[in-house]
Amino acid sequence: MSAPKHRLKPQKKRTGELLFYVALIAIPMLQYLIMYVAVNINSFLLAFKSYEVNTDGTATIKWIGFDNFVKFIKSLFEPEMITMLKNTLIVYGARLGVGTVLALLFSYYIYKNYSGSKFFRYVLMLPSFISPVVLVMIYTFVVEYAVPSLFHMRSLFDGEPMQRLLVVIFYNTLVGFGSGVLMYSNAMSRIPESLVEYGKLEGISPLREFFSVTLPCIYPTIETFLIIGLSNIFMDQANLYTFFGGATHQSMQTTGYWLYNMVLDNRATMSDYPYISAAGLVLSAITIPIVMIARHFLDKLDREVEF
Amino acid sequence: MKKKRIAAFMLAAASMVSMLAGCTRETVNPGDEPEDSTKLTLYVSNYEGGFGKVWLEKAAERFEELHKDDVFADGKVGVDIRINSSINGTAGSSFVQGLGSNTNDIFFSEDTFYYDVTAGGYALDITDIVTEKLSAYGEDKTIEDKMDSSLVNFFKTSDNKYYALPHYETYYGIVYNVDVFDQKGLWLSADGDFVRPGEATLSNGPDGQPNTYDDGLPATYEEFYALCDYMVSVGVTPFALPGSIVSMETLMLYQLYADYEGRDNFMLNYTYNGVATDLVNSIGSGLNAEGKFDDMLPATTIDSTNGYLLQQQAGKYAALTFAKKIIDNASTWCTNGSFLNSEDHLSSKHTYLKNGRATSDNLVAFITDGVWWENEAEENNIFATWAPYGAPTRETGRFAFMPMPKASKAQVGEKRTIATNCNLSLAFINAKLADNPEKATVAKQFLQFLHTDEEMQNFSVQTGTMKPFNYTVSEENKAKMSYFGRSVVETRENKNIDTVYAYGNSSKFLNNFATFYPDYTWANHHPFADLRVPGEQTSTVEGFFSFITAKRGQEWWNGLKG
Repeated sequence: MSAPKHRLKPQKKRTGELLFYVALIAIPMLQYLIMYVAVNINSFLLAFKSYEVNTDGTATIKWIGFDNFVKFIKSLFEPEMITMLKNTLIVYGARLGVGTVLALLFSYYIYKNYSGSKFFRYVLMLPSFISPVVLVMIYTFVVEYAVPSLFHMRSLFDGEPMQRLLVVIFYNTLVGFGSGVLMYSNAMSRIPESLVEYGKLEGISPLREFFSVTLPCIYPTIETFLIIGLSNIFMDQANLYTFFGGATHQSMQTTGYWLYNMVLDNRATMSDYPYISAAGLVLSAITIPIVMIARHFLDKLDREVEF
Repeated sequence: MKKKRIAAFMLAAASMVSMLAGCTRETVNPGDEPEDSTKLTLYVSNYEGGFGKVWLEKAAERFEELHKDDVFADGKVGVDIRINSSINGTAGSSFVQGLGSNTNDIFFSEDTFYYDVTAGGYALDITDIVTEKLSAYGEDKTIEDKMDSSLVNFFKTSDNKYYALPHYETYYGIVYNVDVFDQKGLWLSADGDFVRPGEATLSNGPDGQPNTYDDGLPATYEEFYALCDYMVSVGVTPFALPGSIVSMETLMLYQLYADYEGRDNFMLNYTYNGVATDLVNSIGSGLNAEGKFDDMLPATTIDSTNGYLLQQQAGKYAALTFAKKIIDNASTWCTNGSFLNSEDHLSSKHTYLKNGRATSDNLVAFITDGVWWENEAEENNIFATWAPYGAPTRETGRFAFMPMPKASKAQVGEKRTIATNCNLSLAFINAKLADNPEKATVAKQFLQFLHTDEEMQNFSVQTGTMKPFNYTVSEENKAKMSYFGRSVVETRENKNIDTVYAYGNSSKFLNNFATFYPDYTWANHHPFADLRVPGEQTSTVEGFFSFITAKRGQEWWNGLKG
C-alpha cells in the first residue's frame, strides 16, 4: 500500500526543484532577454533604418536597406578612418606583443617563486583594485608633472599625437598587466609538479622549461586570451576617453574610441544612431573572419598537452 | 593569516574609496526636509553645470510661498518643489534616451536636442502658457513675445506647438580682469601706448566710438597681439587656458568667427538662405590689411543645394589666424598648464585666481571660459579658496567679457556680434503629466512663473547671466550683481551689440544637428589642439582650409540627411 507514496515522492521533489529553478532563473532570464537580446536586435535593425525628425516635432523612421553600411564602408577609405584603423592595430599589437609577452614572463617569474615574486603578485594586482578614473588621474600627473620635473623635459602629453598615443598605450600595458599575470600564473600553477621535476632531472634550463614545458601546458589559456583580444580589436577604446574625454586628437583615435564617443557624445542625436549601428555591424563583420582564421591557426599550434 | 586579512581589507577599502573618487559633483538633493505629503509635490531635475542650483532653489521657495494656500485634490494644500540637481543625469543623449522612464516632472537640462525630445513624445505641450499673456503677473506680454524670432522658429513646431523653452543664454569668450589692466597699465591710449586709467585718453576700442564700454581695449588682432607682448614685458601672463577641455577654446574662436561675419553672413549657416559676401577661394598669404584674404569668391547666393560653400567663410580662417598667433607664442602668452591634460575648466579658474597671489607666477589677465564662469567659480568655492591670498572674489573682483578684436583697422566699428545656441539647454515638462492634469497645471504655472520679467531678473542676479528672452534688468537688481554680471547684462542691453541665436529650422539643420554644432565648426577638429602639432595637415591655416574644403565639400553636403 505504501508503494504509490514512494513513487510520488521523487516526482513531487522534482516539481519542487523545477519550480525553484524557474523562480531562480526567471528574472535574470527575462532581464537577459530584454536588456541584451532585445536591445541588440533593436540595434541590429536600427542599422537598416533612417531616422529623420520633421519640423512638426515628429520623426519618420524609414527602411533604407544597406545605405548606412555603404556610407560607412566608403568612409573606411578616408584618411581619418585609415589613421584610426592604423591606431587600432598599434594598440592591439602593443597589447599582444608587449603586454602578453611581459605578462607571460612575469607570470613565469612568480610561478617559479623567484625572489620578490609575492610582492610583485600584489603590486601588479593593485591597479585592478583602484578605479580607472583615479589611475588615469594619477598617471596623468606623473606624465605631466613628475616626469618633466625629473628629466627637465616637456609633458609627455604635450607632443605629437603618436607620442601621446604611445604614452596611453604604456598605461594600458601597465594596468592590463595584473589580470594577465593572475590568469597566466594561475594556469602555470596547475602544471603537474612531476612534469617539472622530470625536466629538472633531465637538466633543462629555466628558459627551456619555459618554452618546452610551461608554454605548451598553458597554451589553451594563452589562446583564449588571444582570441578574446582579437574579437575586441575594433571595440577597444584604449582608455582614450578616460584620458581625453570627447576631445581626443583625431590622429590618436582608435575605431573603438570613435564608436564609443559617437554614442556617448552629448551632441549625438537620434539621427546619428542608425549610422553608428551600421558601423558597429560592419566592424563586427570584419572581426568575425579574422577571429575564425586566427583560431584556425592557433588551434594548429596547439600541441594538445593534457595533464 | 591575519596579515593577509588586513591586506585584503585594505585593498577592498582602496577599491571602494577609489570608486567614490570617480564621482562628480552629483547631488540628488531633495533638500534636508522629508517630503511633505500634505502638499502637491513637483519633482524638478536640474542640470547643475555652470549655472548651479541656487537660482532654482530660491525661485522654488518664492513659488511655494506664492501658492502656499492653493488647495488641491486629496486635501493637499500648497506646493512642495523637490529639486534633483546633477551633471550627468540631466544632459546629453543618454539623458534623452532615458526620458521615457524618468520620473521627474520638470526638467532644466543641457545638451538636449529639442526635436529628439518632441519626437520621443517626452515633453508636454506647453503652447498655452507660452502664448498666453502673463497678466496674472501684471505683464501684458506672452513668453513668446519675449523670444527672438530665431528661437520662435526653432521651438515652435510647424503645427504651431511649443514643447519646451530655451533655458539659458550661453556663449564663450575671453574674460579679462579689469583690475589687472588698471594695476599694470594695460589700457591702450589713443596714441598707441599702454597706460593706466587717467594717464591718457583711451583708444576707441573695437566699436570705434569714444566713451563707450570698450575704450582702451584692443580694436584689432594686431593691437591684441601687441597687448599680449606688452603684458609679458610687465610680468603678466595673458592666458590661462583649460588644456583638457580644448572645446572651450574652439567655442571662443566660434565667437571670433561670428563677430567677423556679422549677423547676415553668420546666420546663413542656419538658414541656408541669402547671399554670402566673404567666401575665401584660397588662403594665399593670409589675412591682408583689409582683414580679408586676397583670393575671395564673388558674392554667392546660398541655398539648400550649396550650403557647403559656407565652409569657406573668411571668418573661420581669420579666427584660425588669431589662434595660430596665440599658439606660436604659447610659451610666454599662456600659463604652464594651458595645454596640459590635467588642467580642466575648474583648475584653469584656480590658476587664473591664484597665480601671482598664492604663487610666485605672473598674474594672469585672461581666461577663456563661458558666460557662467563666475557663478561656477563661486559654487565650487574657487573664489573662497584664493581670497585669503588677496585674490578677488565675485563681489570685489572686476571682470568683464572682452569684445573680440577685429581682423583689421578697416573692420573697426562694425557691429559686435555674439552667437549663442544656449548650450542646447531646455526647460520642459514631462509628458507623463498629461495623465495628471492637476499636477500638469501646477508644473506649467511654475514654468510660466520662471519666465516672468521679475523671475528672469532674479535668475540674472543669481547667476550673473541672462536667459534667452527679452527683458530688462532694473538698476536696483543690477546693483546686486557683480561687475562681471553687470557687464553681461549691459552687453545684451547695448543696441550696438547683436546677439544672434544659432538655430535653424530647415530639415537639413534638424537632421544633422551634431554636424552643425559650434564645437564642430572646424570639421570636428579643435584648432587649439591641431595648430600645435607640426607636420599635421591642420597645423597651419592654409592646411586647415585645404582639409575643411576637401572634407566638407559638395559630396559631403549631398550626403547629409534632410
